[in-house]
Amino acid sequence: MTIEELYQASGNDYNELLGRLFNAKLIEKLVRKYRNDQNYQQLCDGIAAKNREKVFTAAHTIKGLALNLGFGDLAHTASQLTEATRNTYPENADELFAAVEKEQNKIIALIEQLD
Amino acid sequence: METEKTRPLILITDDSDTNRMILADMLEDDYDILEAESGKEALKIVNEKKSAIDIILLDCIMPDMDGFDVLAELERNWSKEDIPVIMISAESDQSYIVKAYQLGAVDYICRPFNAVIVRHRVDTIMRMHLKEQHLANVATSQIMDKHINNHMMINILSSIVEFRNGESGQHILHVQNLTDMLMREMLRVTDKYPLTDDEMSMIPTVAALHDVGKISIPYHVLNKPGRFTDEEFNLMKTHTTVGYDMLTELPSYQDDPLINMASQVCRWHHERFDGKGYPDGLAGDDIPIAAQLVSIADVYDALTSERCYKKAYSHEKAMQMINNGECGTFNPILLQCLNNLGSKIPEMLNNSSAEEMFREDIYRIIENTLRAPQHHSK
Repeated sequence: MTIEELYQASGNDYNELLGRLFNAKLIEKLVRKYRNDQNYQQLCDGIAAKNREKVFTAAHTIKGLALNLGFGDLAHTASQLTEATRNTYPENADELFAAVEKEQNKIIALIEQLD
Repeated sequence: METEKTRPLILITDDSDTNRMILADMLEDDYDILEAESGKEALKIVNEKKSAIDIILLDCIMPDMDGFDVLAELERNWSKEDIPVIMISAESDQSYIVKAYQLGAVDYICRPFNAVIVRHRVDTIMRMHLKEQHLANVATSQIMDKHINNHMMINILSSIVEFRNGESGQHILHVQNLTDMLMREMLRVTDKYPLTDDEMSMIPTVAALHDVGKISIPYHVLNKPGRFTDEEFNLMKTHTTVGYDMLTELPSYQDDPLINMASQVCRWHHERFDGKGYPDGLAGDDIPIAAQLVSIADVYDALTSERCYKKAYSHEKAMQMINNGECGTFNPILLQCLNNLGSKIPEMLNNSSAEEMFREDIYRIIENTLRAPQHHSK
């Protein structure tokens, strides 16, 4: 699978991203690197410990990364978790996290299929 | 380590290395890049590099110390360096943007990054920043030159007068240095006579002019070795009012604060605290503080120097004579200052620390002047 195919398969617009960052090599490098990004693990730890601040910070960072990398659904779900944990730890945190987890797994699975 | 600086330096602060890589990629063609992965590391780098950093890109939300904490810390400890900060964040909540501005950020860029937008905004702020730095440098060196030239011209003029008086040019330096020392001691021990930075730099400068009026005194009176007749003494006393008139009648400088203060010092440096001095018999704090300071310095140096009519007294003898009121009554606070300085006076009279302090004062004035308009919103 190529990078373009990854974006197509995940329902995102590669050309929009290239139009912003102007560097196909960098995009590929960053996408491959995302597989090892520690923020998702931080988020999982935060959820397990019901630690609002940790969840908020990690979700916020994932949102920023996803926005920068053009992963729309991941950015959207991470954003919802960010907003929900901005001031208090919400009752539906696990549910919101599950939505992030789904998008995260989808992206990781696709990255693993890259050539 | 210090190589010649050719490209501006940007500090990228973001806890995510992916975000740092994206920003670095966008900017590295035109800028040198430093990266920090936390607020603490960013401050550490600022501490090392100081104003070598031209712009800081700063993420809002980071673990431990967030971007706002960093902004506050920069404002608290590094405001002097004046490094523009651009906040970057996935946060588009307007209250964050407003808060960043209030804390001193110059701009706020929201994710997702667009290379054209990021470059354009960084370029614009960089251009403004470099221009401002350049203008500040030009202004600083011009103000500095002006002050140094003033100082130099005043010293030349007063040395000419002193030379005619048959006093060594050292008298000017001594009176300036001792006035300066007394002034600083006075500010240390009391807040009764508050001085602005400008006044602090002017007082020792104008001290040099205290005797310019002697230019009008005939040579044979000025350098008479023996006692003055009453007539001669009365003539001699006019050097105060003549100096005052010369300066206040300078046509172009009627409102100049330096000339103003110099004219006061000329006229009233022979007044005494009990009202028994001349020419006006002013008493107490009716005598401007600058003139009070110069009068003590003048008397001390006159006593400890050789003159055509007397030998030089020792420091101890001079201090004793001043404290006993043999040279008239002085402001008790200033006498205390003189006594506090005590035995340090002789060695400090000739050293150039006053000159260095003068330069430091000027730098401080310049800094305050240049920085003043930037804080209008605070």
